[in-house]
This record gives sequence, structure tokens and C-alpha cells, in this order.
Amino acid sequence: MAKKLIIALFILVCLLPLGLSLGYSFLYSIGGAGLLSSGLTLQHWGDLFRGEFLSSMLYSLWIGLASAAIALMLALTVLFTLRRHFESPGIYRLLFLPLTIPPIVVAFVILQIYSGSGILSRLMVQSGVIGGIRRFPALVQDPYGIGILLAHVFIVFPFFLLVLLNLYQHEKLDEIERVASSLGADATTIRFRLQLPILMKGLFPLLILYIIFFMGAYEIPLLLGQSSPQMISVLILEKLQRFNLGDIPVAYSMAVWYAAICIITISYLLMRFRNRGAL
Amino acid sequence: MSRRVALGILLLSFIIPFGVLIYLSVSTQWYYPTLVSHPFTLSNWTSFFDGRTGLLESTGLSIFISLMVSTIATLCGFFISRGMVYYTTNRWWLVSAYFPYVIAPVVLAVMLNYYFLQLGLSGTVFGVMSAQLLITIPYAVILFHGFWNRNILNFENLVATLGGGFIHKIKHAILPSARGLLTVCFFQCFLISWFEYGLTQFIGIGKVETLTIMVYRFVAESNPYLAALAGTVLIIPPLLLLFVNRKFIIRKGWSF
Repeated sequence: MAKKLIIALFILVCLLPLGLSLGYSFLYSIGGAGLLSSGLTLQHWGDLFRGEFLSSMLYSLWIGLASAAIALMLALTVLFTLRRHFESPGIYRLLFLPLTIPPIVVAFVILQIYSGSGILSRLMVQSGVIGGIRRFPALVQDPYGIGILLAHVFIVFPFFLLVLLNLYQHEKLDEIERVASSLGADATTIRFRLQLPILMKGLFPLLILYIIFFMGAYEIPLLLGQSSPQMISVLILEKLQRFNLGDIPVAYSMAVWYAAICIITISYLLMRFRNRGAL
Repeated sequence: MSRRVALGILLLSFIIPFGVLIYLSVSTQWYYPTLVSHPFTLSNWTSFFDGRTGLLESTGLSIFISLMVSTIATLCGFFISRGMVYYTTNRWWLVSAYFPYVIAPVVLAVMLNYYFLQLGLSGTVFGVMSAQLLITIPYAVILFHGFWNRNILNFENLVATLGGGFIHKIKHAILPSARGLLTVCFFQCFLISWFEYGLTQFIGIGKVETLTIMVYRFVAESNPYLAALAGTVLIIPPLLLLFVNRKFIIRKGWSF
């Protein structure tokens, strides 16, 4: 009885809402629900791959990949060059500071620092580097998503570094370095052929997860992103809240596709890495 | 020397956002290209404390929502994970717990919105809490999943053999080992709820004015001073948690 109750509770709070929401969104996307529905159709699904959805998914993928790659490279560089300094508890504790700032606040701070009228632009004008606001390059709400990347890297870089520092200690990479060195391996070989593969093996699942998270980011691109192309979450919301009611099934189609991609990816990851400790 | 400089720049970049928030929260008439020669004031903070900006109510509301969500999510996650580990053998149960958590909360809110409208939950505090629970409970389940093992089960069986019921099992066999993780889970769920914006905005339709909603509202109104003030208030609880125990801040729920 207890067994059935617990499983029922899990289904009720975790799976049923998700299943119902996916079901309704799917129905809406094929014309099976909604006020303006005129019968079943695959038109909205077909429209997806000709319009904004594809460019938005690609843009989201670019942001996800670039954010994770920059944060990873930065974290690896700091790990290999400044690792000893993080043995000090005070400095180590400072790594946690960025994790205390909510994404919406990070976006606001990036906006205040890097926008045309932001702190950096003011500093450059005051010091005579640029003549005025028009000479300042677009670092937020720009086509390459520089502002979004800055915010994402600020959020995830310390986390990656913390994980890498723990992995370094846990996998005893210091000892491996000593052994390899005594066997004649040079510093480059030790870094790239021994330590890096071990670190990447431990970090890989987390890296994929963060790419998924960044692809679905909402509040940061909302403040720091441009109007076209938009990140997928922002685009879905915009389609849903537009005055054109004909866009609503398209929004639901996008949501279904995006959710399906997330679910398939996480299922694959969890089954693929089932025997590995990610953290 | 150059490494120390690099470390200094790195650590400075972590501290700068806090400085920007505090600086802007005590600034006014910060017109371009002025950097420091504008007036400074404590009026933003006094308006916060006397309730004129609505931020005090938002703080209270955010604390209430986050405390309720974290308490319910921790308790539900704790017992659901116990049932999942003891009574199921298929790994798909655990895998499915990741689904609601991995989808962007705002997209989840979009897909759920129809049911929330039908149930009259849109635009209500209870609706926002319910929506946040759909993310935090799976997170708590995932976090607690690794806790249950043969040792805990043996303790439970020992208490049962000595005549103890379910309450005794919890009190004498489970709680002594689980207290630390329960605290970590409680504070992490608190932070998930405290940081949440998209889902709260969509389900709350702007009527449930938590602090994150207020930050965006002030940014949209081009009022960086009050946005910075709201942002400063938002980072106080996580900073306090970091000061008490850094385990509360970092999420270690991903167990592949």
C-alpha cells in the first residue's frame, strides 16, 4: 500500500503535470485544441522549419555551446595556472560569490556595465578613449550575444572551476603528474594526454547539462539579447503573448519540440553515464 | 607576479557586481557620462524600509513563497525518493525525475498554463508556489536519491525489530543520518525558488510580485537605482547562506 502511495505521489507531482502539459501543447500544435482550431493539421509543425524556430534553435545552440566552451577554457586555464592559490580557504570561498547572484541580477549588472550608457562606456569617455556614446561598441543586445555570453560565463565559470578543483584532488592528478614526470613525460604531455582527458571525462555530463540549461535561458537573453534571432524561450513567450492569435499554435509546437529535445538528451545522458560520478 | 595580477583581476571580477549593485542603490541622477560626480542618497533605502516602493512587501512575499516551497519540496522529495529507492528497481523512475527540472521553467510554465487557468491558479501566490514545486520536488527527489542505501535500511529494520513504528524509524534510524542533507536540500530549494523569474512571471501574470519580478519591472521602467536596490536585497539571503555553509550554495544533485 505504502509503495503504491509513494509511486502515485511521484507520478502526481512530477510526471502527471509534465505529461498533461506536453499532451495539451502537442494537441494545440496540431490543431486539436484551442479556440481558433479548425481541425487537425501539421501546418504549424511544417512552418517551424521554415521560419524563426530554426534560426532561434541555432542561435540558442550557439549561445549554449559558446558559453560552455568559454567557461570551460577559462576554468581549465585558471586550474592549470593558478591552482595553488585556491588552496587558501579565503580565496577558495570567493569562488562561491558569483553563485549567490540570481541570473536576472547578473543580467542587470552586465547591462549596467557593458551597455552604451554603462560604466565601461562612461569610464572610456571620462578617460578620453572614446568621444561619446556612439563610439562605444555594442556589447549587449548585439548580434553575437556577447552580453548573454558574458553573463553565462560569469555564472558558470566559478562552478566549473570548483568542480575541476574537486576532480583534480579526487583523481589525485598531482600524484599522476609526479609519476609521469619521473617517467620522463614533459609538461605538455602531462597536461594534454593525462590530466585533461581525466578532467574532461568527469566534467562532460555537466558540460552537456549546462549547454541545455543555457539553450533554455530566459531572463538573461530577455534583458541582454537582441530582437532577432531570439533565444528559444524568449521566442516561445513572444509568440504566445503576441496579439496575433495565429501564432499561439506555433508557440506550442516550438515548446513541444524544445521539451522533446531536452527530455531525449537528458535520458541519453543519464543512461549513458549511469555508472559515473559527475561531481 | 603576473599570476598574482591575473588572480587579482579574476577575484575582482567576482566582487564588482556586488559593488555595482550597492553603488547604484545609493545613487540618483546618474546621467551619462557622469561616473562618480552625481548625487548620492540613501532615499532609495529609506523608501524600501518605509514601504513606498513596494519592495518590502515583495521581500516578505518572496520569503514566504521560498520558505513554503522549500519546506514542502524537501519533505515530499525526501519520502518520494525513499519510496523510489526501496520499492522500484527500474532506473527510468529516477531518469523521469530529471524531466521537469531540465526543461526551461518558463517553457514548462507555458505548457502548464492551460491547466493553471482552468484551476484558477494563474495570478495567485498558491499558483506560483504550485508551479515552483513542480521543479523543486523533482530536484529534491534527485538530491535524496543517493542518500538511501543498505545501511539506512538496516537501521530501519533494526528499529522495526525492536518494536518501533514508522515515526520511530524516522526519529531514530533516518533523521540522525539525514539531518545534514535535509538542511542542504531545504536551502537549495529555497534558492531555486528565490532565484526564479520566468515561471513566476508567467504563472503569476505579473500579479505575484516577488523580488525577481520587481528587478525586471524596475529595469523596464528605466529605474536602475531601485532595480539595484531590489538586486541587493535578492543577494542577501544567498550571501548569508554562503557565510553559514557553502554547501547550501552549490548544487550537487547531478548524480550520473
